[in-house]
Amino acid sequence: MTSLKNRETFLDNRFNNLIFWLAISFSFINILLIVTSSSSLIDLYGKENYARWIFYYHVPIAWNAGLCFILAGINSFLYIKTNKIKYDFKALSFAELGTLFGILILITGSLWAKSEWGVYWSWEARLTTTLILVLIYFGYFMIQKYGGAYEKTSINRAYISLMSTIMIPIIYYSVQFFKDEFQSHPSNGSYFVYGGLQIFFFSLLSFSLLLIFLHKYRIFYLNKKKEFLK
Amino acid sequence: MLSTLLLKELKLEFRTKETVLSMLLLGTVLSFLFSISIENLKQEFVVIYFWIIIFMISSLGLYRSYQNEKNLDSFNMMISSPVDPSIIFISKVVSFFIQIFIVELFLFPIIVLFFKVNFEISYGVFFLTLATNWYISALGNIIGGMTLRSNRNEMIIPILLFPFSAPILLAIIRATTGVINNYSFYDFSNWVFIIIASAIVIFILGIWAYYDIIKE
Repeated sequence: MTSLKNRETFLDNRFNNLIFWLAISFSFINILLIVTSSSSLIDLYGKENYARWIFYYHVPIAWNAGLCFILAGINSFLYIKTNKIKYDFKALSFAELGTLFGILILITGSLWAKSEWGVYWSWEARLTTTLILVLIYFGYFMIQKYGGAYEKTSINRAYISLMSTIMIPIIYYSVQFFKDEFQSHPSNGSYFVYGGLQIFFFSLLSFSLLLIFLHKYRIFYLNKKKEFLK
Repeated sequence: MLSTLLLKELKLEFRTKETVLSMLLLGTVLSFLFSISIENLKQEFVVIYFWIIIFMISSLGLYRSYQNEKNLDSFNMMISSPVDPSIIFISKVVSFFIQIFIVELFLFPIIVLFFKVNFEISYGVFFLTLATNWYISALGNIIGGMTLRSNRNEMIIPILLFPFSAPILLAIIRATTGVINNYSFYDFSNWVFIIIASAIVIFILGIWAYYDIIKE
């Protein structure tokens, strides 16, 4: 019954409250910045192209998703080593966010590919790697849902996450060289015109804040669930 | 101890031969379907379809193998006996490796016959096949162990096996194509390296992790 007395919501914590409002406001400003700035419209060939906007979402999301998958692997390893449930919660939260951001990469990447290359899907190496990782993490959630008791599924999930982290270089290496006659990823860095770089880093910052907020939120409710289970 | 466990696994299988026979039958049906649905076959297609079929039927074989353990509740007895769990893992890997190799021995002539191509097996192809079989067997037994306490293992095994196998599938197709077209080893050495490295890494991970995965 202790859990019923605990009516604390996520926003009661001052730090969580700050993160929440920062993430919301930064995301909103980010949209306004990207849409209103003229320099964010210039595409790789120096022409104005509305599809270029997707770049300022696609790349920050991709960096955050990569970070999520790596952190999920690290926390899974720590969970296997120490058997402390806080690492399992962190790993689960990062795996969920990584999968969510991975799906967003696939959608935004397809939209950008349509504008740049004329097709939605061209077996580009990084998108294919993301697709394979998202499919692996679907299996991870299958294990969580149908794998049996919680103590069993948590350790199995940890091993799947660790295995996928080990396999990331191999998957990337193999898909990069498999379809070498097909599309290569546009390199980043040299195509920014004045102002574009600042918008890009602001977008990265706003998506990182969003990631921190979502992670904190998930951890908060997982902890609540744990109290209820006691 | 390893030989005793291995003998037990193989005896259990070859008393009824149900896993090997059902894998072979499914492989034959699939190769029939693939061969009648595609015209103008090239030699590379044999390699691609052969490996896709092998990955598909190995999920069936793994499901049978772990379903037997669950039905008879024999696995709990085995892990409560004073045996190192990694030895159980090695015996299961070797047993499944032998089973899948036997299936391949019978399936390969059928595929070559259906696809109407000339195909000569060299030592390189043989070695690559063994390495990939080892990878499938090690990975499949890790995933099979994970589904031991689950009621949905028929779904979970293929859903986890295929994404993890995707890079190896790409590598084996490229490497085998390189061998049969007589490319220089330098052109496809990356792929051979990927296959061997993955097989070793997954096998070591399985030895390290198998007790955690199968314990109650």
